[in-house]
Amino acid sequence: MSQGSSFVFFRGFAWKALSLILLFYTFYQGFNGTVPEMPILHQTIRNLYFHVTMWMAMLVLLLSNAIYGIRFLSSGNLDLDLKADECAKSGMIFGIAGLVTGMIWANYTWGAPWVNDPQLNGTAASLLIYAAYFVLRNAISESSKRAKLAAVYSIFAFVMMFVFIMVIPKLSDSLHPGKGGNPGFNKYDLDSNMRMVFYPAVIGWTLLGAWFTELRIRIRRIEQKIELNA
Amino acid sequence: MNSGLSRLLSVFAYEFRTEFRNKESISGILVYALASIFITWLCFLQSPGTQAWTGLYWIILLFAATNAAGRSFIRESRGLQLFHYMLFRPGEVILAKSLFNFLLLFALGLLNLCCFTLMFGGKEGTLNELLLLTLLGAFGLSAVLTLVSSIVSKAYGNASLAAVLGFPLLFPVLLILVKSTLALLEGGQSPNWLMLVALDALLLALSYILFPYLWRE
Repeated sequence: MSQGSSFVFFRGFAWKALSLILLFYTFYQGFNGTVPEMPILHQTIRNLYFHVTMWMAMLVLLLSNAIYGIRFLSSGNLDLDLKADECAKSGMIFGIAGLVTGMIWANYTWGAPWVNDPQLNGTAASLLIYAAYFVLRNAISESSKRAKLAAVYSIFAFVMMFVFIMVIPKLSDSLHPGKGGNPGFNKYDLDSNMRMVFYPAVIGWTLLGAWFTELRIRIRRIEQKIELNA
Repeated sequence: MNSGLSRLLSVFAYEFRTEFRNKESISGILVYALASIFITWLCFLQSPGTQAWTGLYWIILLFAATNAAGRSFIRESRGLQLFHYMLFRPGEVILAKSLFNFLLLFALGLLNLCCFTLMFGGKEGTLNELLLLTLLGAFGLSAVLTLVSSIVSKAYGNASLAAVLGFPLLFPVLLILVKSTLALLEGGQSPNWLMLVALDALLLALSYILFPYLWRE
C-alpha cells in the first residue's frame, strides 16, 4: 500500500497514528466508559467494541480482496494478486478473532459458546469459504495461473459470503439483537455514549487491519526481490 | 444471435454425445447415487422423520451432483479445450455445459426423489413443490459446479478439489433449499420461489461473467 497506494490517505504515517489513537480511545472507553444497564447483557455490552468491530474489519478486508481480484483480472498485474492474498489472510485473522470474542460473549449471555444462530453459521460459512480459497491457492504452483484462478474464485466467494451473512439472516430468527423479538441494537445504539466509542472503534480496528496487511505486503515484496537477486 | 444459439446447441449436442457414448461414466453416476440412497435405507430401514429426510435428500443430491457435474471440464484433454477455444465463444461453452449439467442433475434429482418417496414415504400434496425445488436446486448446483469444474481443470486438480471448492460456494443455495423443504414438509408452507429463482439467476450470471477469464488461461 504505502508508496504504491492509489489513495492519498494511505501515504505517509498519519493513518497509522490515527489507528493507534482511536484504539487507545477504544480501550480506555471500553474498560472505563459508562454503558447503559441492560438485562442479560449487563457489563458484557462492552464487548460490542471488541467483537462487532472485528466483523466490520473482516468485511472491509475481504471486500478489498474481491476488489483486488477484479482489478487483477482487468490488468494482469501480479502485485495486485499479492495484495489480494494478504487482504484475505488478514481478513481470516479478524474473522477468527471475531469468532473467539463472540464465543466468549455468547458463553456469558446465551449460556453456551456455540449455539444455532444464523449470524454464527454465517461466520463459520465465511471462514470455510476463504479456507477453500487458500486451498485453491496452494494447489497451483504457477504464479500467473494461481492469480487468475484465485481472483475468479474470490469474486464468486465474496458474493456468496455476502448472500449468506447479509441476506439469509434477514429471513430467519436470530439470537442477535434486533431479530426474532430480541432487543434491537437501536436500543443501546441510541445511547450516544456507546455510539461515540463504537464508530471510532470500527475505524480504528479497520485501519489496524490495513496496517497489518500493508506490513505483510511489504515483507512479501522484499522476499520476492531477494528471490529475484539470488 | 441465431448463429450464437446454434453454436451453443452444438456444444450441448457434443456434451450429450460424449456423455452417452461413454456408458460407464453415466452408469457410474447412477450407481453412485443409488448406492448412497441404499446406504441411507440401511441406516434407517424406515421413514427417518422430516428433518433427516430433508437433510439426507439434499446431501445425497449434493454429493452425486459434485461427482457428476464436477467432472465436466476435468474429463476433457488439453488439446480438446484448445480446439473448443478456436471454435466457440466462452459464453456459449459455459451456457451449453451448464445446461447439460442442469439436465443431468435434474435427472439425478428425479431419481433421488422417486427413491426417497418410495422407500421413506412422502407427504401428501407436496410432490409438485418438491419437484420444483429439485428443479431449482439442480439449476443452482449446475451453475456453480460447472464453473468450479473449469477452475479445477485449469489447476490440474481432481474431483476432490472440486468438492472442496464447490461446497463452500453452495452454502447459501443449499441452506435455502433445506429450509424451504423443511417448511414444506413440516407445515405445508409454500417455499419462497422468488428468492430461489433470484439466487439461481445470480449464480448463473456470476459464472457467465467470470468464465471468460478462466477460458483464456
